[in-house]
Amino acid sequence: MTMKIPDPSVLVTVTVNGRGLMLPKGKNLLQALLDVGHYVPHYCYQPALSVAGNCRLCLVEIEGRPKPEISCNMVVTDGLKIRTDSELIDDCRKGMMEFLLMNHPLDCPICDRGGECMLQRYSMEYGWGTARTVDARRRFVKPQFDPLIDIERNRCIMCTRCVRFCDEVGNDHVMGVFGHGSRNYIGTFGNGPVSNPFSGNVIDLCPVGCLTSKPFRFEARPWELRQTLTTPRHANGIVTAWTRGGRLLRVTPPARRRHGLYTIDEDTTRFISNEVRFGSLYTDNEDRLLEPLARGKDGKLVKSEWEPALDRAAEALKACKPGEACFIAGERSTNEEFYLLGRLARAVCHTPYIDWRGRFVSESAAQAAGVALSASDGDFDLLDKKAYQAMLIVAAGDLYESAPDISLRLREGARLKRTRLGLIDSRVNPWLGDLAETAWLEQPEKIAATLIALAEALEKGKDPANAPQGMEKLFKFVTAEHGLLVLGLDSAGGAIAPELVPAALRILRALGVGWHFLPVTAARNAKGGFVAGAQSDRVPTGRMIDPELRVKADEIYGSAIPADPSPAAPGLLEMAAQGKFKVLVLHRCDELVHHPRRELIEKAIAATPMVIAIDVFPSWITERAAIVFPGSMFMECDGSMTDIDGTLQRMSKGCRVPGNAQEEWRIIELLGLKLGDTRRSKRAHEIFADLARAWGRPDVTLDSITLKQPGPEAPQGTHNYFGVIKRPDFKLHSSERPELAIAANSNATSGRSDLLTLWWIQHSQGPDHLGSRSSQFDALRPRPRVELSTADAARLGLKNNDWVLLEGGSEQPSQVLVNPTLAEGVVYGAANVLGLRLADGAGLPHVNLMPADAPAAEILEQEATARR
Amino acid sequence: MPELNTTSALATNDLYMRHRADIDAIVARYPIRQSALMPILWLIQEEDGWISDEMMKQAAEICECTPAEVLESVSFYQMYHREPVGKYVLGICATLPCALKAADGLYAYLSEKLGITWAETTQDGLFTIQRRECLGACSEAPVMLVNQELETKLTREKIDRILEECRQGKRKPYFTGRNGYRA
Repeated sequence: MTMKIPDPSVLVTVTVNGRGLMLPKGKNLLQALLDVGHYVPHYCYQPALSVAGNCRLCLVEIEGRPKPEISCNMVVTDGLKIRTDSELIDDCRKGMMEFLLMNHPLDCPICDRGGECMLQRYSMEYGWGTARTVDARRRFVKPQFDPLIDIERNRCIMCTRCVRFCDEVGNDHVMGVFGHGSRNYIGTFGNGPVSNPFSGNVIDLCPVGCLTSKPFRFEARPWELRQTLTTPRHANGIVTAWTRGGRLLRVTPPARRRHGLYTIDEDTTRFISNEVRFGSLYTDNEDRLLEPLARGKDGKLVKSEWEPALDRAAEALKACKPGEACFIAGERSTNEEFYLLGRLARAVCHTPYIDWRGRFVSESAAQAAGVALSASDGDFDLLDKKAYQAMLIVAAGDLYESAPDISLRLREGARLKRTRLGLIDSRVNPWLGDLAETAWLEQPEKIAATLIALAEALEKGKDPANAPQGMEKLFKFVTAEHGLLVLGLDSAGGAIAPELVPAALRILRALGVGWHFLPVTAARNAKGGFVAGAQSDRVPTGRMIDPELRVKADEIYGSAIPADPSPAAPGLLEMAAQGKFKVLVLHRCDELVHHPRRELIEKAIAATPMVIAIDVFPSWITERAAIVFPGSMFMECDGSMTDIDGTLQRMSKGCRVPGNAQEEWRIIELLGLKLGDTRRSKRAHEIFADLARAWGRPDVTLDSITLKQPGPEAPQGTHNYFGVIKRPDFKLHSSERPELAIAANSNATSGRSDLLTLWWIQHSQGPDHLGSRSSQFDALRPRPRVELSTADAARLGLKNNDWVLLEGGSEQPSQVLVNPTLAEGVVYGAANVLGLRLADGAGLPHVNLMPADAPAAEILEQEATARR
Repeated sequence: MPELNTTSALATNDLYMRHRADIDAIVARYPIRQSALMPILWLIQEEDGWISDEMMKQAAEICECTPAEVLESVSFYQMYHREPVGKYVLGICATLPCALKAADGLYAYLSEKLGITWAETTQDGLFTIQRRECLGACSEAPVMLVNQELETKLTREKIDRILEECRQGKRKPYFTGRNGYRA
C-alpha cells in the first residue's frame, strides 16, 4: 500500500548537540541530518533502500531515553533533543567498529576497495586503531560467484545492502543472508550469478571490500584514476567514468568529492544498469575503425588519408542536385551531431532528406513516434521529487530488456515516490508488475482499443459509473488527478505505434491537464534527434517545418532550407532502395546493423552509387560503403545528449581519439567545409551555443550543464531547458496527421488464429548492440529464447526449454520459456538475438512455431563455457 | 480479458505431484504461500532425510518465492540437513546442564564406538551424530534425541542398547524414502 509521504515543508526544531536545527517533520532522522550537512556514520542505511538497522553505527543519544538508539530508524519529531558527539556515542561507535572488524581479515593491501572503503574511513575516524582480538578469525571458502562480481565473504559486515537492493530495486530475491549467528554470510542460491540487469550496483553499494567488480579487479587504485562526469552514448543517465592514462577502467554512478578524493557515491539514488556499467567498456574492443577507408578502383575497401577521402565524399555530394542526397543519422548521435547533420543536409546540400528514426520498421511507425515526441512534456525528471499520484505505463514493460536504464528510472520513479502504478501491456514484466496496483494484459493489436475505450468513458466524466465493462479497476486508476502516462513506442519496431499514439493523445486529452505525457523509446538520443533538427519534419527547436517556421529555420541555419516534405528514415530507405538517391550518408547507424528489415537496407545500399558511412566499429554496412570515416567512442568526444525525459546530459571527453579517427562533429564540419560551408568550430561548445540559441536559451553553455557536481542526496547535473516543447495543444497535433488513424485501421490483423503474433524487441545485450561490443559482456550474452503464454504453450504442447523454430521470422532455433503474464496468441523474443528477418514493415509479424531439434551438445557446451 | 492473474505451473514439479494432497492441505492453512515453506521442508526431510538443492528449487516453486529465500530458512535452522544423513540421527545435547552431567564423555564414547565425529555419518549409512542445543529436559540430563524420540538419563549401557535396537531395525528410521519405509 502507498505510504503517506511526509510533507517536507513543515519544519520542526530538533536540538542536535545543543544547537537548534530546523528539520522536516516526519523525515528519516539520519537522512535529515545528512541533508543539512551533519554527518552521522552509517553502513547499512541507504536512502534508496529500506531501513535495516543492523550496523548500529548511526546511534544517537536521545534526551529522555535510557539507551542510545539508531537514528536511521527514527523520524524527526518536534522538540527532539539528540546528541551525536557525547562520550557515550563515541564509545558505542568504537565498540561497534571493533565488533565489525572482529572477523575482518585486515587485508587492505590486496583489497580492491582500498582507498574508497567505508571500513577504512570509519576506522580512522571512529575506531580503536588497534586490534585486541587474539583468536583465530572466521574464514569462508571463496566460491565461484557472478561472472562480473567478485565476492570475498571474510570482509563482509552484514549490512545487507546488496540483499535489499536485489529485493527492492531488482525485485528478485536472488541474494540472501544464509546461516545464522556468527557464521552468517551473504550469497546467492548455489553461488549462481546475481541475475538481474542492475546487479552491478551491489558493487557500489557494498561499503566494504566484499563485493567488487571483476573487470576492474586489480586494475588500479581509486586515487590513481581521473573522474569524468559524463553520459553514455548507448543509454540514458549520468555516470562517472574512471580513466587512467587515457584508458577507461570503470563506469559508476556519479561519484562525489569527499575528503579530498572522489569516491563512488554509496548513498546514490541513481543506479545504473549493467549495460552502462560493463557495456561502456566496449572502448576496450580492439576491432575498431581507426583509418578512413575508401573503395579503390578494384572495388576493394582500402585505407586512405583524410584529405582524399573527404574530397571524394564532397565531390559526390557536390554532384548531387537538390534532393539527390540522403542523410540518416543514428539514434546514438549527440545533439551537436544531429544539428550539424541537419544543417549539412538542408542548408549545404539543399536536400530535405534527413532523419534519425531508422530503428522503426515502417514509415507510419516512425511518423507516429515523431508525433508522440512532439506531444511529450519535456520539463520533468523522473527521479525528481515532484510527485504525481499515478503512473500509467502502456506497452513499455519490455524496456527492461531493450533499455534497462529507462526502465529502471520509470520503476524507481514510481517506487521512491510511492506512486500508484498501472500497466497496460502485452507482456507484464514481474519487475514492474509486482509494484503495480492494476495490470491489464492485452494482445498488442488491442492495446490501442483499450485506451480508446478508457478515453471514451473518461470523456463522459470521471464518475465510476462510466467505467467500461470489466475495466472498473483500470478506470478508477486513471481518474487520479495528477499522473504520468508513459507510452512505449518501439516494441515490435513500432508496429503498433500508429494506432497507439493517437489513442494515447486522445486519452491524455480526456485525462485533463494534471497528467503528463512521456513517450519512451530505447533510441538513445531520440529526444535529441527531435529537438536538434535531425527529424525530417522538424527544425532545431522541435517545431514542425511549415511555411511560417521555415523562415525561422533559415535564420537558424543562416541559409534557406528546401521546402519539400521528407519521409522518415524507413521511408528514406524505401526511396533509396528504389534508386532515388545518388549519395546516402549513414552516420553511426548501429540500429540499422541489427535491423530486422535487413533486406531493405541491403537494397538501399546496393541501389545508391555512393554510400558514406561514419562509424566506430566495422559492420556489414561499413563493408559495403564506398567511403568510411572512423568516428570516436564513449569518452572520446564532447557534446550533449538528451534523455528521454527531456534531461539534457553533458557528454565529456576524457580520452584522446586514437589512431586516425576523429570526433564525429569534426568529420561533419570538415565535409561541410569542402562543400563551401564556412562553419568551423574549435570545440563542440560552439555548436552547442548555436543549438542553445535556436532553443531560445543562449545563457546555457555546454559546460553549464554539468558544472554542478551531484550532491549527496539529490544528484544534480540535470537541467531541463526545453521551454519550447511544453505540452502543446493536442487538437493541433492529432489533426496534424489525419492519415495516422487510417493507417492504424489498415494495419489491423485479419483473424489468423493459427499463427502467433510476434512481439519483438531489440535486446540491449544482443549481438551488434553498441554496449554488447564490450568483452565484459560475453558472460551475459542472452540466449535465443522465445516466451509463450501458458495457454498457448498448452495448446501447442510445448514446455520450458523445448526448442522451436519461428517459421516466417527466424532461422535460428530458440528455447521456449512459458510466461504466465504474456497475452494469449503472442510470442515474445529479441529480434537481434533470434536473428529476426522481416520482409516488410506492415503491422505486426505473425509466425508459426515449429518444434526443432536442439543444437548439437558441443555447441551448447561451448556457449555455456563462454558464459562462465 | 480479465485482470491479471498470476498462476504458477506446478505440473512439472515432482515434489508437488508426489505430495499433492499434503501440500495443498499445508498451503491452505496459511494466508500466503510462502508461510507454508517450513512444513513443506519437513515433508521433504521426512521423505529424504535431507534437503537437496533440487528440492529447495521445487519448494521455492510451490511457495512462490526464490530458491535463495528457501536456502535462507534451510541454512538458518539446525534441524534441516543440507547433506544426506544416516537412518538414525543421534542428536546429543551440548548445552550446560547436560555438560555438567558429563555429556561430553558420552559423546566421546559414541564417537569412538561409531568411528565418526560431529555431523558425520557412518559408512553403512546407519548413524549420524549431531550437536544439539538444549532439548528442554535438563532434569533428566544427559539427554539425546534419537530421530524424534527423546532418550533421557543416558549411560554407556543405555547407549549400547539403543544402538543395538537401531541396528536390529526395531526403531523407526529418520526418513521414509521415496517408496515408503525401507527395511
